[in-house]
Amino acid sequence: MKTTSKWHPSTLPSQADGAPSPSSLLARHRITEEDLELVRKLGADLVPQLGKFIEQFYLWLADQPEYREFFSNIDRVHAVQRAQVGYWERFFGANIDDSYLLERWQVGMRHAEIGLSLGTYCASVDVALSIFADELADPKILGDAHPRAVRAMTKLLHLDMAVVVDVYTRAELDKRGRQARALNEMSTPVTALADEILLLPIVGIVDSQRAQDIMTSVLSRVAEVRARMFIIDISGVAVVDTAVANYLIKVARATRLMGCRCILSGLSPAVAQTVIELGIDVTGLETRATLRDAIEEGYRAVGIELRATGG
Amino acid sequence: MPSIADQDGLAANAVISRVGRVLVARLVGDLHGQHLTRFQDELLGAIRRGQARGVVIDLSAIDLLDDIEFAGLRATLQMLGLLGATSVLSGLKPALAAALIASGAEVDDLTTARSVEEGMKLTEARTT
Repeated sequence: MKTTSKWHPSTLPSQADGAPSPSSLLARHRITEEDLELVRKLGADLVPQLGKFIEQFYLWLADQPEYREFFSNIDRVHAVQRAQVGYWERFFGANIDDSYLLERWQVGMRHAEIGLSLGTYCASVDVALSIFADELADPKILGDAHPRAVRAMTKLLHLDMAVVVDVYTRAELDKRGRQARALNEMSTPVTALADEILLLPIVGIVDSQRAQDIMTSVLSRVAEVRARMFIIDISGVAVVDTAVANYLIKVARATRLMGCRCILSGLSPAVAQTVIELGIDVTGLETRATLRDAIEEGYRAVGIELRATGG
Repeated sequence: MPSIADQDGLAANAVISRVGRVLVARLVGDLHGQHLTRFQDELLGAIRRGQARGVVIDLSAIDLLDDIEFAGLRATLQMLGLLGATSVLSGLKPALAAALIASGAEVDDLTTARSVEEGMKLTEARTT
């Protein structure tokens, strides 16, 4: 039941996953070609001073609680700083295409991987914006176009943030999905006892979702190993009520449809009483009191004889 | 033994062959309306002519049967039973088995096998 993630950090998510194209993103953020031209003009002035800005940025960053956690190594700090220079050069290049989005996508992935919070990321974008805005306080650079240029830069920065937040969220959801799948696989540990005999001990609570997982993994394993006998041991099931009994009976019936015998073992006297008193239809259901009985029956069915050897 | 061909405009929905005294019917298409009737005619005819005593219906190529198709299949098995033939279903896929159970289909009286070979053994054991 292993599923791989639908997207990979080295590729852009496809439109089918709901990822927007460069043009639709620009439209959504109301960024025009004129805006991009203004950002490029700002860049002509700001990019040569990036080193200074990054220093100012690290004055802020050093105070953040996450700084120590992620930047304990000075080489790492330098590597990240170089990456940040690259990031802003690309930003002020203002050429919004697939590869531009891919870079932002990777920034989001990186943050999700190392567990940097979105809150810190958003705050850091704001700090960077302030640093640039202070530098731009002198309106001579662009004259009348100055306010529009600042606005254009802000819009593009928000577009960047939207992409990063989007991928960050996807990465988190993906992580959670993988955890859920791992938990599901652990909750249905189907084991082979012999060539054609499978055993599934069920422990804990059976609800409709888990019953569905049990059904899926039992049937796929039966098909996979062409099992002739499937033993489901329910001695560890906390509560067997009408719903649980019906789930288990369904699994047994489906297994038999595939030509595989199914034995439910570990029925306690209380369970036997409940099932009969509730009037649950158990025709065609094979049951045993203990797992041991079921295993012996299973071996007998596939023609394996168990006997003591020696002393 | 002829397969169900498209003699009267019907696409073939099953390949039927005879092995010893057992018919093996590999279902490959849907079982609606005329397809079902043709399928039943072929199997019942062969039993009636004494060409076989048992039938293995192989479903390993089938991904899904709707309620109507499954009811038709059950009816076919009952008709075969009326003519004294035993029948076994073989090779059900996990998704098909799960879907039939989920739809509440009555399956307790069906004889099933993992493969055609096993189905044939079961059929022969029950007809001799």
